[in-house]
Amino acid sequence: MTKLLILIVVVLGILAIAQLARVYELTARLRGKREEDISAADNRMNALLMWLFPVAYFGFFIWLVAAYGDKMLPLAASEHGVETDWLLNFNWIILIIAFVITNVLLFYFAGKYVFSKDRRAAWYPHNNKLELIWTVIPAAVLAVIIIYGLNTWNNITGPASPDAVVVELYAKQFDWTARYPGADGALGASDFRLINGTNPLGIVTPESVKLRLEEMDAEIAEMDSVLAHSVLPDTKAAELKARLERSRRQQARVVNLRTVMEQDIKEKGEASVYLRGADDIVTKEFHLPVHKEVKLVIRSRDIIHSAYIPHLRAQMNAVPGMTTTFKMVPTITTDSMRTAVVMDDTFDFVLLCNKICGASHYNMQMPLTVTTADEYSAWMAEQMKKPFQAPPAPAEVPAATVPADSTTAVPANAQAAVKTN
Amino acid sequence: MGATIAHTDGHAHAAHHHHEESFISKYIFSHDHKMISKQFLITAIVMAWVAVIMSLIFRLQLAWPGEGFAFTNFFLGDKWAPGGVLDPNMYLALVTIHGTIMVFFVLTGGLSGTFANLLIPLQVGARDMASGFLNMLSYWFFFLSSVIMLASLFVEGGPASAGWTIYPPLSVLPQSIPGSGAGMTLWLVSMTLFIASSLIGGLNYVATILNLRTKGMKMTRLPLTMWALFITAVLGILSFPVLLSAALLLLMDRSMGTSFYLSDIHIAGEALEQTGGSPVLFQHLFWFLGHPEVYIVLLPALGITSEIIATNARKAIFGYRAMIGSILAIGFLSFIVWGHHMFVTGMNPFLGSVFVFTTLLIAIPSAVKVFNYITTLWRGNIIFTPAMLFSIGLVATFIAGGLTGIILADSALDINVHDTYFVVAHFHIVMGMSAIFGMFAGIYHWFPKMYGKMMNTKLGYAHFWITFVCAFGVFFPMHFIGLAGAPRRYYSYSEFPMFNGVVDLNVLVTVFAIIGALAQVIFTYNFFYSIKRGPKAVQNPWKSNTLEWTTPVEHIHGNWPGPLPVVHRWPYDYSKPGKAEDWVSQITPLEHDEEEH
Amino acid sequence: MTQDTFTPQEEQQRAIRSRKLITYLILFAIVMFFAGLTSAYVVSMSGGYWTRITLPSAFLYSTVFIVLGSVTVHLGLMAGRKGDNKGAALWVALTLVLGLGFTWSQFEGWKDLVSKAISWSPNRMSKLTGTYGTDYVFQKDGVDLVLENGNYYLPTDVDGLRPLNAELDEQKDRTGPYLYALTVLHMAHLAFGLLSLLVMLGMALRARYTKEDHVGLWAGAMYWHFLGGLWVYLLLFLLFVH
Repeated sequence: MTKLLILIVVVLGILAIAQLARVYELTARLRGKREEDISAADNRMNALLMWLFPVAYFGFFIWLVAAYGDKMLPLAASEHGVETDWLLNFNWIILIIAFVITNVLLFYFAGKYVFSKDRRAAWYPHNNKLELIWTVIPAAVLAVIIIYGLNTWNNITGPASPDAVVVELYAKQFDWTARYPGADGALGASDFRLINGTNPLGIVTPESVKLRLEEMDAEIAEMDSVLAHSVLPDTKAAELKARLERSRRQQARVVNLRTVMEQDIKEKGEASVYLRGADDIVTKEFHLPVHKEVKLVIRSRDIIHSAYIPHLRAQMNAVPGMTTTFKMVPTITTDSMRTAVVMDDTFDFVLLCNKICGASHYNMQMPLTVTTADEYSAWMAEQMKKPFQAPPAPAEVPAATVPADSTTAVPANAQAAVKTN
Repeated sequence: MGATIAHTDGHAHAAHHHHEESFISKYIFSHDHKMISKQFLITAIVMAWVAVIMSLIFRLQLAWPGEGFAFTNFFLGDKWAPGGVLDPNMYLALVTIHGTIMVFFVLTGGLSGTFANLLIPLQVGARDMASGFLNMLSYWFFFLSSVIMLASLFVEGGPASAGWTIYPPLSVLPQSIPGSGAGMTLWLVSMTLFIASSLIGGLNYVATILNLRTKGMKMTRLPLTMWALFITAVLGILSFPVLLSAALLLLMDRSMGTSFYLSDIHIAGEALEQTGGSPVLFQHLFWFLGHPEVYIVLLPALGITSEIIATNARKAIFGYRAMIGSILAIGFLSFIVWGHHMFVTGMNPFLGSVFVFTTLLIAIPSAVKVFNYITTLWRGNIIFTPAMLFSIGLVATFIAGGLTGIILADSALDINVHDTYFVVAHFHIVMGMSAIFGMFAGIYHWFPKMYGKMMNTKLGYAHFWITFVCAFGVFFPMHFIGLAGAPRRYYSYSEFPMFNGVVDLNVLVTVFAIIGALAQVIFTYNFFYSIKRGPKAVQNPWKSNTLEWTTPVEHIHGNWPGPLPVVHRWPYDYSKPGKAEDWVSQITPLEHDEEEH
Repeated sequence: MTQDTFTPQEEQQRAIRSRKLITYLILFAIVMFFAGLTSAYVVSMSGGYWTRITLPSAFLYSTVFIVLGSVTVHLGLMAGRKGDNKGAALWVALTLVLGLGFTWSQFEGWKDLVSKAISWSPNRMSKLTGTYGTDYVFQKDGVDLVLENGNYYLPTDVDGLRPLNAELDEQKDRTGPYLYALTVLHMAHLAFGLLSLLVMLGMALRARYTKEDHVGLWAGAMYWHFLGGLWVYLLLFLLFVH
């Protein structure tokens, strides 16, 4: 029914335009006017609109700034964020000046020099001096922008100091996990071959490797026994055999990993990175201390994600097979943000995904709590006490097998199956 | 190789234009550049409507997330929009295909394909393109690739959904997103054909401009449209093959288990076997095309605008040589700036600095162009044809979008606005709107040349003013949404309280988008109605200087019934002192002791 | 009809010039295509594990075939320039034979690679079957590994504390796919070359080339030279860029 209604409206609309056009055409033909002859009235109308338009245009701009200026990101809560906000404002001043000047000239001239039979356009094909001026001025302004910008960029991308707080942010479809070094102050090794339900980050320790191998042994033994003892239809059997082959290959890869680990431990002893992981804290809570340099170590399990913390003006891609880093110094705690900056008790910093990554990309988030150093130590101590609880793994379900999965029946926010926390 | 090029049309055209052609050789497999240009244009209009409807569907979702719309259900059916609620996977598919179609099929194939084919032989004074056969091939590759792209909308799992930039591993692994199955394969096939089409077209454009100019048509007497289309074709020849190589490696990763772009991936409960590749490698290869592509889209529009502004301001274009210089500078620089798309991929900071520098340099020739346009209007005698309105509109969008580019090019600032709506606003205004305005301007201006009819001016006014207002209504607020930190390609923003302040802007944007789309109905109606019933055009309706207006209104094979015209002057002798008329055609000989310009 | 602006001779000149230009532009586009591939190769080889594969000797024969082909096709063009269609046909036919020889040697080369378990769809590095040191060498971060008693070591690891076998078993050979991609794509372009040789042969046999108009022959010869140059570039690249 609605479809029909829409269709009727569209058809009627088109007919209306058609009729208007025909009436106009007939009158034009009656008056013997040619289509390419733009009448003085038309020219005047457009010239007037050329003057009215910038009024509306700037008005719209001013209205947007007035109505939404305070809805933009609040005061930057990181040291470099304050710096980039200054840089941004500096750029805005230059850009808005250029914006206003060029637009005013454009629309003013367009409206002013409307066609008149009694006048001829000026003959003014070039003026080298003028052209030089408007090559040199933008170049000079840009030089300032470039120097200021690169200076800031160099500060941001410089190496982190060795005593920075290290936090690993681990991305996968569609959530984030944080990992903190335990008492030893260093993150342990991790490897994607070890990932399973209980070790979502694939942290490599002699213990975790052993567990994983045992688990794989059990799986393989079970498949073996099924193949040996049950009568299966051919296709099923072939499928199972293929799976068995795959599992054997995967197991061989974990054995390789074990070899590498053992060699490293033999060589480096206690200093080996493979012995650092046992006390790592893997958590769905993301806490940072205020006024301390933080080095985010960013990794991905599956595809490219991007760790974006808008309030801290921080962003870095999470690329599978690569480790990226971002250093920063948070300057405002969550509490201060709530009470002094945004005046909202429910405010939370948030880490979100900013690189297209699939169906629930729009809901891949993790709240961030910035606390005082003392609170942070207390939280840390508490984390060290409790062992990591693996989250249930609904996100493990491959997206492809459920093309339009549960979301088709239940709209938007019922997508919470993969919601963090 | 020898065989394809050996085809020749030669000079004999004029002699046998009375020769009756069959329907197929005249309308379908035509070798005539004017017919091919019309084929490109009509295909592009169809593709543009597909992309516009897609944008309306996802704009509805963004404005009223989770609500059902009969409109959505009407186009997508119950599979992708049960109860009219858009599926999140389909949302990503729609933004991907919307981007692909707009960037490649409308603004590259449609814009360059239409106007390069129409204008190059006419404006340089040639009987046809260097090779009519290759030209036909170029269109049919384009057509086939359009058909395949549309066909990909109907496959199981939906069309490609990894964004128009198809970054691996998302585009490689069907486990990560259903659109990376058959849909992605068709996308790659379609794009391969598209690249072939662009390359073949480009060869012809360059060869025609360089070799088939008529007597007296020095390079410094070429209309700026020709310069723009020439550099565009060169950019295409240099950059599209690189995209093809990137796509081929991607295809191998998808089908042969190679790992050019993949490494250390654990997905769907399994550790993949690929090791050692790098997803960032793809980004480098992609953007080596991708950035010049932006100028492949933009330069023809700027060229068209230069021509139309000069004609309708009845005034010589200001700084002709500076305009050519800036086109050359933009073309050159576009090859050394690709890294600015990758500031937050963990690239070497020093390399990042280099890209900041080269990118911001582009602002200089762009600024020169804007100032030159404005000076051309100054003390002009402006006739507001719809084409002129769109040209002025282009300058306005080029200013608004170009300026925000300075912020995005600044790597320190890009950290915070990268991949947010700020970027969406920026490139839609500077690339999307500017190029589409250029395309509209071109259509209104050269419609009499293409179809021998006039388009309705009043409808043109309505079309322009509604479109112009809506363009800013749609894309201006997006800057604010972006500065509030809202990422692009989000199905909904309701999961984040921090965006609550700006969600009502999304409603505003969508309302403008709907009105803007309706304005395109006016255009489409005007276009097709005028083809059939428009008043007959005269030979030179806009009193323009360039050569295309010296050809007869009725199309003939070989363009000029008699000898090719001989050119005596540059194309911008408008309101030249000492002349009776305010225009002097390029074929008018210089008077005794008249200076050229 | 009055005299046209250009004389028929001028028209023909212009047509020939633009066909030549189109040929050059096609070659240019192909150069960019291979430039894209080889730069991807350079980026891929930096860092991590990499296999340095000794090119099969058949690829060196390929070079002989294609260089000789360049000479014969040029002689064919010389004959064509004089309007000597018979001579042109003879030389083009000879080029065609050399082209087929090139194709044969390419297949020999691929067979050789396959026999060492270097294949399109890549194997793990540990699965390669040739002789280490002569057929291929493993590298880590650009340093050649040393093989001792079945174990691979870094050369700095003089005491043999840390064999890298387990890591090599995890790594896929990435050089093989590049080798195939580059040579097969070159071969695909060469297939077009063979086709154009056939067309040229047909044209010459029907005596279509004249002193004035032999641009088809010229374009085919140019393309063949180009394929030769491209092959030499790829060969030198693969020989010296590891």
